[in-house]
Amino acid sequence: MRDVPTPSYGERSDAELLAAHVDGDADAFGELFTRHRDRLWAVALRTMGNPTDAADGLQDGMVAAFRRAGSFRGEAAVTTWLHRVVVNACLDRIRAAKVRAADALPDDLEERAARGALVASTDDDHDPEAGALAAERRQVVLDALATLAPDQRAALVLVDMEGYSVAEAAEILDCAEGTVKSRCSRGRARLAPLLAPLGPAAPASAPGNPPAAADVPSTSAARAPPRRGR
Amino acid sequence: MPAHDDRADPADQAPDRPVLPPAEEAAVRARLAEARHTDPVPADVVARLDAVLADLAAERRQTSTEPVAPVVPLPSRRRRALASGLVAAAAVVVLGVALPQVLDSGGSDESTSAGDAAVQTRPDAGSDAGGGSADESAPSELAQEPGASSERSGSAFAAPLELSSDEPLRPAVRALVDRGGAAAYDAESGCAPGTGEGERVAATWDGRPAVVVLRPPAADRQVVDVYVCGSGEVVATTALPAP
Repeated sequence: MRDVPTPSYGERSDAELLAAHVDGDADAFGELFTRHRDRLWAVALRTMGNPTDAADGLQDGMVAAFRRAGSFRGEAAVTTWLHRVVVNACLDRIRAAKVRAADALPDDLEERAARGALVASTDDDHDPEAGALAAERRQVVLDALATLAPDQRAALVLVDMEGYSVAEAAEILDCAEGTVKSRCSRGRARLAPLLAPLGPAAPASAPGNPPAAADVPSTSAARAPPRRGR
Repeated sequence: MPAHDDRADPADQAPDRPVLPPAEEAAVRARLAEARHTDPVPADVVARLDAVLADLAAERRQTSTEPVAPVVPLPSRRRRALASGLVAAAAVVVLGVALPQVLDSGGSDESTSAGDAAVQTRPDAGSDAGGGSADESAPSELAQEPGASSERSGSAFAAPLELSSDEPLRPAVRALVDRGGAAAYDAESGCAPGTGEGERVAATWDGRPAVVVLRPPAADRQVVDVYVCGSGEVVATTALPAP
């Protein structure tokens, strides 16, 4: 687990910002959300499968967090709480969409995965051939991920993609650690045959711990799982 | 926030045992890690979120600035209630003293009985009423005469009598004649010169300065004319039984 750097702007911690928001500070929530926005976006995007739905889920989560900030009791880190609100907003949207169009879901998922491919990041822009290959691999993974049940997908996004510990993911998903482990394990088992054509992964890709150099450029504070006591 | 129901997927509750061989599981995890999204939030999504956040902040500001009923300490409220009670009692005494003097002794039964009732309450009110002078008090009963303008203040008899072309004139001016209430209003002798003989009472007609002229009783009737200031023409007239 990587360390979370101290925010480069502002002296207030996440907890202080949230408390200030509850006390009526008009700018505190914006500062807090901006601090973690990129990471929340990544989770929303991989959970929802496409940027359109991810934007909706992230917005729902932001509105819910803004309005329910007073209910935060400090039992978890503020970032964990923010992730929980956003992930739940995303899962609620997926469930609602499932109810609305259960029959169309498989095709819909494929379509979503295809849409997600349009915005998949490319870390190898400097090498067009390598970039194209990486984008192709990423698309296969995203397509496979889209076939999972939302709860399994969310667990894998948090643990294997974003590098959260099982305990933190359990806190975010509001379930037992054993449930997270089980969802991850079964999800990986379902993904394995779908990802087999890709061959072995590059050695540098350590499971669950993305390289530190892959931080989102817009912020240096939100690229690792939250630490308690901030 | 809806709690996740673990019972919804019994498979999640299966014993925690590896489903894949460790090497294969590690490979899957590595592929997932490779597919991690590392780009920042797109600019259009940022703009959208910022707009929503601005709306939320504005909504919150509006809610927080809405007037809230002031908190009044209970002892203060009790003192105020006591003071209001004393003022009300004093008003009853003032009315009881003032009405019989202002109103014609041959007035209506209602006014007499009201005066009597007020007088009867006087001993209870005591002398705290401040000994309000009957001459300084206004016959508020007049302001509530049927047909009179509802805008008129019961105690503001220094103000002109408000009349309107939309309301019948007769009931509005009847009190002036029946109860001698004209004396309670300003006499506007300077307005509408040449309006002829009669007692003048300052008034407004549809919001414009006017004067009501109570003509001398003739036989058993008394004519009441209304002039708008600056005009010699009668804008309304009626006849009432002579007092």
